[in-house]
Amino acid sequence: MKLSPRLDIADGMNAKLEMTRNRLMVVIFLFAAAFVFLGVRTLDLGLLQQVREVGSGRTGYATVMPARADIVDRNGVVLATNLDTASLHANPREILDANEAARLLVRVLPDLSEADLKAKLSSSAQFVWIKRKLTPRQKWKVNALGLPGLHFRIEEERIYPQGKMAAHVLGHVDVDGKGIAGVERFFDQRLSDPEFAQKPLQLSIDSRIQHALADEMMDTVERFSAKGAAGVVMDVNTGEVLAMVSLPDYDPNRAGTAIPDARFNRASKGVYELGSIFKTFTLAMALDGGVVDMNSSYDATYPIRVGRFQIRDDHPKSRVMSVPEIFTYSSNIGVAQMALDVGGEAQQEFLGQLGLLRAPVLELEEVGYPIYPDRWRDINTMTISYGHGIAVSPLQVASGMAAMVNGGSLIPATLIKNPDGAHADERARGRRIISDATSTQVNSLLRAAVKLGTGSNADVPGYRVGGKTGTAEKSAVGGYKEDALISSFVGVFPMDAPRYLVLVAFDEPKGIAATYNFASAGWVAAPAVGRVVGRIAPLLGVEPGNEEVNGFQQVSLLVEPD
Amino acid sequence: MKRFLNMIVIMLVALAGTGLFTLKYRAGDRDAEIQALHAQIVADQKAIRVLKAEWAFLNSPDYLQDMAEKHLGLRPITPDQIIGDLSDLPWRRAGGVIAPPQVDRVMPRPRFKPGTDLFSVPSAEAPQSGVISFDGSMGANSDVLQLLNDFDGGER
Repeated sequence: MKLSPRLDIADGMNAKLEMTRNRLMVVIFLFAAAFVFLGVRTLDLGLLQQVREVGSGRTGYATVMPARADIVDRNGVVLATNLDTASLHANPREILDANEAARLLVRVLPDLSEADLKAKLSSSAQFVWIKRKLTPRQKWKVNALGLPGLHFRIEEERIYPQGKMAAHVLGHVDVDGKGIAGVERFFDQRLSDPEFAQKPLQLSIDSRIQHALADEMMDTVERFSAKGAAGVVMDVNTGEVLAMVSLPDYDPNRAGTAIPDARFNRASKGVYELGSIFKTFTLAMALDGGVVDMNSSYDATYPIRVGRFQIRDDHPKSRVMSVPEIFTYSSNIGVAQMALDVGGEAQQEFLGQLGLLRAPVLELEEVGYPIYPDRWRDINTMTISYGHGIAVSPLQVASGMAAMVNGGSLIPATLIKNPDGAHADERARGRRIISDATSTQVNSLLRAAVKLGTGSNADVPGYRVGGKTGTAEKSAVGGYKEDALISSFVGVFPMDAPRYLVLVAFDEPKGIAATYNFASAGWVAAPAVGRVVGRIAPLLGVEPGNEEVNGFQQVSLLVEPD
Repeated sequence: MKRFLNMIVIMLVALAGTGLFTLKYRAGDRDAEIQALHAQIVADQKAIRVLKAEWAFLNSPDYLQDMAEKHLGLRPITPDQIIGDLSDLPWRRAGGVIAPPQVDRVMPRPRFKPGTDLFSVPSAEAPQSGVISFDGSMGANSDVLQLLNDFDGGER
């Protein structure tokens, strides 16, 4: 009896126990199922399925992201790039012997002062800069010293591997890598935009042509002891600047040490009275306006006197001259009369259309505003007709000349390479200044000036060079200095279908014995252009050939030889 | 039955555990490998940038011109050295003979007195060893020459 209640209880318990057991079984089963599922899934993922890569924080592939995009020339040659360089700093507390360390460091880095270093290294600071931006060789040498307490910090630096080449086009950056001159400045945002960091900026500059131009100009500057020079090579059909040189130049790798005069871009920022090159514009204007034709003539027997001013010829013929003769022999008297016939207003408008009365449009901030008279009187019309009394940058004149020879359209100059195949549209994009027919006439006049006239030293057999000399006296207080000249020459080739233009201007060349002490354009600038053309024409794929029958032959009949 | 089930479960757990363990480590290894590769790629790209800059530096026209002037006797080409178009070549005079190629190389020693016309000398003396003659004793070659000569003569 005693047991019965227990049994009763047990009976009751049994039922409950049974229930708990069942519940446990269900839970166990669920867990087992879950584990089996996990196990199967794991095996499945690991062994059977093709695993899709799940981003583990990194996306894409690792690449070098330079802080600034490269600049390359039209053929992809690197002109500016960012490289890692080591900067040396020290922790003076780790330095064992400051005197010894300073002595050894100066031996490796001779531009540092030993006393200065000693003071730095024996200070109580924990961090002192010793030298920024070491060359790899210097870094190696410092490492080889084996001194404790010296450390390197890797920093990115802008490197211009071509040195002085195209320095004025490229410009340079400051210590923080911010562009402060040239295209580095103009395209600063584009170059430092991380989105474009991998994409180099491609310029229209051709490094080979840039070098040829700079080399020949340097040679001439030295030979004639000129103070400076500016030069431009341009594709007349696309407006692309293939080379732009300003002398003296500087090394953008060491821009800080360059004197301001060397950093000045004479080709686009400097404005000069370029002299007789402007006669091309005057003649084109007169021919296009129908004021004169090739058979017209002007009396150039006597100098023109206007007030206290006298217009003379540098190569006086003292006779009546035909239009081609006026151009070929560069007669100021003839061209001044021609400009008066056209009229000052028309002249101003024409030069304005050519973009010579405003700052040049180019991908540079170093552009110079032209200087011209406020009041355009007759005397101004006359002097401007032969390039005096108006100062413009050589680049603008190059652009204007390109419009004269390419069929008559002004195409904006650019430093950025045009994509291939864009050539056909370029002329349509340009603004028409003179008619095609006038352009052809101007071409034959330019050819005649080289073949028969003042620019004969620029001729290169086979390349059909045409061009115009420009010798201008530099203005000084109260007049002009006769002994200080700007000698310039603009050459175009090949003349039967003009493609390229070379313009050079030299500042105050001094005559030498070989040129009979002349420093005029025909002796200084024209031969330089001739040599440049001889060097660059094969690079540009211009075939040497014979003169094709064109307007030049007719023009030459109108030019009476000396 | 229960024991059997337990055994299976234990085995499965052990298997799954080992599998997971291996997988995890293999994945880790792969990850390290990928990271190493990425680091290598970055290092290579940096090296390429340096080499490109160096290439540009060593190929700068200024430097090349210096080197060429110092070590080579090369001069810039003149326009008359460039033939733009084959039609620029002048016609040869009628009856002329096509010059055989590589005259310089196949003439180890002088066989002719200076001044004698090289190609009209009859081959009385047999061609000497190592010397090819151009007088018709060369079989197929001479046919070609003959053909060219005929063509030339006929054209003018």
